[in-house]
Amino acid sequence: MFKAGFYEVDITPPLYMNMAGYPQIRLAETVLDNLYARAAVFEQCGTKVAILSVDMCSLQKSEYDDILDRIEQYTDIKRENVLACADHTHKGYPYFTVNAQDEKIRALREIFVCRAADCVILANQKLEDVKVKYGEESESTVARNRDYLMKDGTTRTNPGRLNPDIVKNVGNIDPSLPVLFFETEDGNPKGAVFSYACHQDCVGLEKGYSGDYASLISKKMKKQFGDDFVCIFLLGCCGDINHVDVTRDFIDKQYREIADKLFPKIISAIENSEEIKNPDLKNIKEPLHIEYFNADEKTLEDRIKVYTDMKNWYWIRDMINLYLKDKSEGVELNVQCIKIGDCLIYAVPGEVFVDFQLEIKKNSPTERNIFASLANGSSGYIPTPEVFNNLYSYEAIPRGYAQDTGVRVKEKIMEIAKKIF
Amino acid sequence: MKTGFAKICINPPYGAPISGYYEERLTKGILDSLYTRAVAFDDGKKKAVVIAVDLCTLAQKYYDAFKKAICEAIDIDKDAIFINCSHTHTGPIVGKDFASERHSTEAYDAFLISCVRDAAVYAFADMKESKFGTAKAQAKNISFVRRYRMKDGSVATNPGVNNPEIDHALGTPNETVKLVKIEREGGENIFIVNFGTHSDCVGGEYISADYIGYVCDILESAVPNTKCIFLLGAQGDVNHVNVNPTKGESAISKIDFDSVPRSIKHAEHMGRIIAGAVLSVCSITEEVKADEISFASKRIDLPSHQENHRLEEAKKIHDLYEAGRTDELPFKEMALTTAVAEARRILKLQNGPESFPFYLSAVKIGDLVFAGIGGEPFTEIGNRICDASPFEETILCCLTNTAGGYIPTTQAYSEGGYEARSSSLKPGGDDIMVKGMTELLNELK
Repeated sequence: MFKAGFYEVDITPPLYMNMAGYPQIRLAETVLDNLYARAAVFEQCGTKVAILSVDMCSLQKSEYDDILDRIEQYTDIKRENVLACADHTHKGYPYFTVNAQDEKIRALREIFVCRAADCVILANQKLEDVKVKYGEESESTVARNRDYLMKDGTTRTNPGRLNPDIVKNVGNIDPSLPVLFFETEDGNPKGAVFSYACHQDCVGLEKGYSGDYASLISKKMKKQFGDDFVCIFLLGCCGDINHVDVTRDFIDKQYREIADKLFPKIISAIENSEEIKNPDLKNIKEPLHIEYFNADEKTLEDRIKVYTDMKNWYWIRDMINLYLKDKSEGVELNVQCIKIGDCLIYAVPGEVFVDFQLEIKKNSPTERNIFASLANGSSGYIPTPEVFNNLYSYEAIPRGYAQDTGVRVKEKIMEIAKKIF
Repeated sequence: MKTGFAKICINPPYGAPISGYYEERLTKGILDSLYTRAVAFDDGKKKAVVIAVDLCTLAQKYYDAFKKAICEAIDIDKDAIFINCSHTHTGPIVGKDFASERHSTEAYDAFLISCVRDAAVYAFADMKESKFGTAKAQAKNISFVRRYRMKDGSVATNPGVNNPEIDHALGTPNETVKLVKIEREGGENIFIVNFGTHSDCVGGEYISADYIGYVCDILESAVPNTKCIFLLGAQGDVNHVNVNPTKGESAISKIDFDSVPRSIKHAEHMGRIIAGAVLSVCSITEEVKADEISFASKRIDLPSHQENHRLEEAKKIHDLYEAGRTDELPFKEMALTTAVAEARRILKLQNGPESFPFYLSAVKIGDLVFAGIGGEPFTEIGNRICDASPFEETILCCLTNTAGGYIPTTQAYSEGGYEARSSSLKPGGDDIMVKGMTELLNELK
């Protein structure tokens, strides 16, 4: 029998912390929506796999490692069987790495690690026999590719709303909205895992904590299925996708509109879902060594000039200068596949561009695919190779991952998918 | 008068030590969440905030740290901050444990301080014009004075259920539940519930806010558009144990630490009775004037209970207990806990201090007053203060704004029992406390 246990833990930080996501300091002055860690633990034939999603911009390797240590200390779940990811809210936790010597940040980090890990530990206590259902819907009016062809022939990221120099949008989206739904044998709903590929940066101006549109969807799901229902959001590959409609003026708190659009689609996916009969449970997580973008001096000079001229991108120039001082040897990332019956959950590092998600789906051994990006202790954009040739790219910057990273992640995860399926 | 409400979850990490007993318990899960809840008051000139924290006890430095953090975030006088502990025995140790060397982490302490501060900040961000009403009801047959005269003439605390040696209880519980209902224009209404019985019905290693969590949850579910905060009244000698239990009561509990029956079911039962009492009167509250805020505090010094002539005896009991050689001591269960607690008290106080400072607090909202005393006073002390209060509506709270252990009546020292024998205070502390609080309330009137 397939078992599942769900839990969520309030992880809202104290007031007056910097909400990560922007180069500017933004201290939280209120709470719009509490922040949560949400977890599911699955068990079948002695194998246990956990999914943990936290309301924060990115879950860095250091905190990821500590969370896994704690899960291993208190449960029989192996660290390689845990998928831990951030939902990329831009109204969440501060960067722990910045001001790490600050006593308040260190204390908050310790509490965060405990609470995030405890979410899995407590979900593990709630394991019970469940039926698993898979459903899928589509919503194409929320997600938008943020790259645009301009009248001067350049392609620019986020060129601004109502910008008269925009010619057209030049990128893909993936409108799919896959949902795994779990209920007891007698039909008591317990939890859901769903995915959508669109940046969680839709709240707007107010300086308050929020889990963005996913948190509103979670509230709606509780109204629908009960207070104990846990709805886990996995951020699809949306490195180049956000919610900005350049033909409309700025809308504050647009996350409400987005949640209002996505929620009925999720319900529709559940209502039309099919049970996965006798699902098996498999998991593979493997490391992948990634180099950093090693730009030559001319490229660097050209880019620094571009970033210096663009008033909102000054911080990228600072990042490049930082990179020049400290050329790292690269980093070890993780790619992971979880198989539940004929459904595959792909967990990729960083902010992978949507084209990779589309390619993986095209070559996937199954039609039922769910994606989690920013997974397993990672951050940073993973663009398609051609983006690196664009001087005006916001995402392909010379402190980020190397040009071939996306291709290597795709190839590695396809290799795992074929092994596991 | 404007009021606001907020609450924040303060659950400890998995594995954190639990406070309340003389045995190690480490958190193994969550039965129901712990919160800090805050009700803010603003009359346009002055501010005040009443805060409840689901914790067993707090050392003075934490009350002070909470107040400091709140004062840094809000323009408020520290005497206008009223912080009450719920005394749950299934909550985390904060700071150093009263009964062992275990302690909380610095990270949890920092987290807790921010949570209490933020609850106050959020409550003040939620202000709505308000109307006040009060009512009283009875929560019958769930509270019991736990000190008993035994047939052999001795006095025992928690002598065990169905113990044939029990003669009679040494006192009467106060079964009155007090309700302050705040109706807010365009906002959720607030119920402030005040009742005095030990919140120690659950036991074990799973976190719970005990019956108090149920009271709040049940009321918030039963009365639409309502938030609830619970303030613990005088309860030093009162708990949930019916020594002659009904079959139904026996069926929902099992014998736990110190031979006391406990279970989450019993906490739920208590919560239902108290919430039921509130529900029976919440539609017929009497309006009370709530025009102006004032507040005051006062220090009193209660004499220390030194007994250096018993040091040798105390050291022997303490050493045998610490060495795990309890079978060499002529005590079992609650009698053992009492003897060990008394021995620790004698050893701890051998070099002083001569007295302990207690800070009495009062926050007046119109014709209503919240009166706060530290430690765990016996029911009779609470009754005496309410009787002597010049206010018609006095919400008497223990474990408020100041640390401290049991505050027995003077008579209890001659009778004996766990509370009087373990208390760090000398006989006579009750009279000093009642006199001090009465003076403070008269100053405010």
